[in-house]
Amino acid sequence: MSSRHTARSAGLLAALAATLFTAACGSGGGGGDATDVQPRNGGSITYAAEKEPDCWDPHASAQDVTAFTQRPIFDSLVYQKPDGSLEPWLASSWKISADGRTYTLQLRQDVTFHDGARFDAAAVKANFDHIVAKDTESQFAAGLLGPYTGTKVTGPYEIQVSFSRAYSPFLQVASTTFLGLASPASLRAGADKLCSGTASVGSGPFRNGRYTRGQQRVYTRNAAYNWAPKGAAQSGPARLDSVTIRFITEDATRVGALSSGQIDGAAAIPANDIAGVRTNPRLTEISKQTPGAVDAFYLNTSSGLFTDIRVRKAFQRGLDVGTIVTSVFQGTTERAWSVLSPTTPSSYDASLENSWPYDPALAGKLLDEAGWTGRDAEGYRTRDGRRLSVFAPIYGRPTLFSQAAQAELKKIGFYLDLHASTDATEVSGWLDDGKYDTVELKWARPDGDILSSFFLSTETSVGGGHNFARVADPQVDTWLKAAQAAQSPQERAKQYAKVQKWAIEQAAVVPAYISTATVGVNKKVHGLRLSIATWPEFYGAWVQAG
Amino acid sequence: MLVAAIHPALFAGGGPAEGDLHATLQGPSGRHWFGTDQLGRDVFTRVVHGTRYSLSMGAAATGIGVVIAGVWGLAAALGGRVGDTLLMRAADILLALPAVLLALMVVLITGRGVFGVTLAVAVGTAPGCARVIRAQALVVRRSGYVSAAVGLGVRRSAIIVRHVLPNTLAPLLVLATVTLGVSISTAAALSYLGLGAQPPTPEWGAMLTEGQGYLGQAWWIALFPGLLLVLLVLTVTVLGRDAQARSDARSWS
Repeated sequence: MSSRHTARSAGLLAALAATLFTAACGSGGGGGDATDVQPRNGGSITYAAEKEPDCWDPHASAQDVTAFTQRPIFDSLVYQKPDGSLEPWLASSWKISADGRTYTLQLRQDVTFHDGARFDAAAVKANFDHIVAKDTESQFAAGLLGPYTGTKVTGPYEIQVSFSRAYSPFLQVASTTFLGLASPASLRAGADKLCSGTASVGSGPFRNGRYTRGQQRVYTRNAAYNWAPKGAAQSGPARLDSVTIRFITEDATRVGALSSGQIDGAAAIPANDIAGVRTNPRLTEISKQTPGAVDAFYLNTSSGLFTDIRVRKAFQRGLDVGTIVTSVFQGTTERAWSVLSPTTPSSYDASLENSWPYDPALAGKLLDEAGWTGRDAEGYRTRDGRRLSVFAPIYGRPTLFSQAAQAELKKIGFYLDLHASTDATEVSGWLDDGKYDTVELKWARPDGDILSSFFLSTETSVGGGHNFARVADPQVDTWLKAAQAAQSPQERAKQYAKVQKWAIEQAAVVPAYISTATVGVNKKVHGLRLSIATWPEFYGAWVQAG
Repeated sequence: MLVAAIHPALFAGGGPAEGDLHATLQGPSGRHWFGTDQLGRDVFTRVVHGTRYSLSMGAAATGIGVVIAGVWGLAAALGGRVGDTLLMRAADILLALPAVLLALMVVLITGRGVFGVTLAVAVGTAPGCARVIRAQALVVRRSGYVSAAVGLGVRRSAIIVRHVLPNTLAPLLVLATVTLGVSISTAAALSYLGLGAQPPTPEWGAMLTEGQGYLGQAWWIALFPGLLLVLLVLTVTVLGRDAQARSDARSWS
């Protein structure tokens, strides 16, 4: 347990790490839009990602970039369309037992892995067994399975997945790359080899090509591919002969390579470069708000300063989120009103919008009531000679957003102590021991069940969860478990709305901004669309001749 | 610049961390001489306040470095053949690494931040200075007045304190002024890499990093701290050279 816990903490730290602000709002859709060119087969594209996976095994890693870079190689049982709805992929159909605890899935019979092995029930079981195996040290995939108890092979192409209680998020979970299906033989290569990215063998539209750590990975077309989901942009083999993903972490370099035509697409265009991409006649920009938990401050409700709801409310209402977001992201990102992003399928509570506007007078009044009436030489509020200091651990460097928040909070007397550290053990220590006042983070996941990992009383940092507000409320637990038990999306949305409202009313969280994926693409690339998780899908893409 | 470092408020009224989010990325104007940065902070104010960090980090690093080098060099010169060989071979090994690389390794131990970087730069400059000091101490040790003192039966410790040390000190000070420029730029370089002053500290190296992403949109954020850094290093180096030239001239007279 302890090694798995360490591994999961590492994944969390990756999420906490200061990511450079990437942003924009609005337009979905994709790629070049010239109508006079016909789709063609052949050609290749080069795409720059802003990060390189630390570990390439999606069963082990919690990194978004692992899920993105392995999507072309690994297929899943279920496909989640860009609109959030689910449809069959390698599972051709499924039945859910009346008590919601058992899923019986029929599998496609015409699928082969890149190594020639047949895809069948035993292969699926091998994958599920690998995810929950102790040696895998799964940072995320195992957690996604929730109350999972096991998989049974009930026919050559039929499996039964069981849970200890009703678990409706399972089908969405099964659609993620984290539960991507690898050839059983490749899984036996061992954790190190799977992590290294050289042993990835799936059944996807692209095969694993040459990989040079620190530089790039090549993907080559799988000519046998004929099992795409209906909702995909394409059927049969992919149009592109190959795709190259380069890892260019420096923003200016990545954007420069895109504008100069050295690469055909680039991820994470920073806010201050979006206008340049838009006005470049050779380029176009695709963007989509990332579903899941928005970037937010989680306030430690169980110890220290923020046990007093008045101080939490003051922090929530006294922070001018709207102004900061507009300024820092130069109008390309929207502020958040709920802990969930509006693009999270059937779970966002829109009624929270504008329900807790910036109110510095109210914040001041609340702080006065809570006894923080003094002022020190630097203008921060004090009580009994102690400064109103908010300890905020940061792994890596503070973002521009958090620096702006620090400057703004000073106006109402809060000192936001942005405590940056590059020592992963030190930071996870603070988080596990609850020795902090607030943690700022976001977590992408296209399902409302993301709320469970942030607010279920059992999802503590020590156990690998994200309950950083340290909420332990039986009522909240009941709502979240009811949502996991309910099969109807409407019923689940009702429960999720209650949790979202509660989190704002209790000021357990201060939602900040809706992170937005912004991808820059050369106009000669067509058919590139963003998946539900806001990563580009290369499968349907093609490149114009010349 | 010295005045700006000691009392920045004389030049710039506002606080270096105070910003107006409604006035970000504004070009140089009568109101904001050097424009405003991505958080609406006045770049001129930040540059003025930053003088203190660059100058003090450079000066402290040089001071510590020269003291380490002084002890090191004297010990080598006076420590007998075995001590000399050991200490100077150690210096040779460290000199094989560029000062910046050595400093980078030391930061790993001392940790990031203003203090860590200062110490790292000090350690980075020490081996080179130690060689110079050893050479000077060897010259002094073989000079007539030291031989005379030895002949008179003066105790060894007294000779070191009364004769060798004072006569090695003058070149040490010249060396310090020459090193200062290098130390300032090394400290800024480490801050630029994110190892030194942390935001929102208005340190020039850190400001360069922050401004880098905005070069196409707001050149003034990175240009002015860079320009001032160049000016400061040039000034200090020219002064150091001048001091060196004078001290050389004196020793000829």
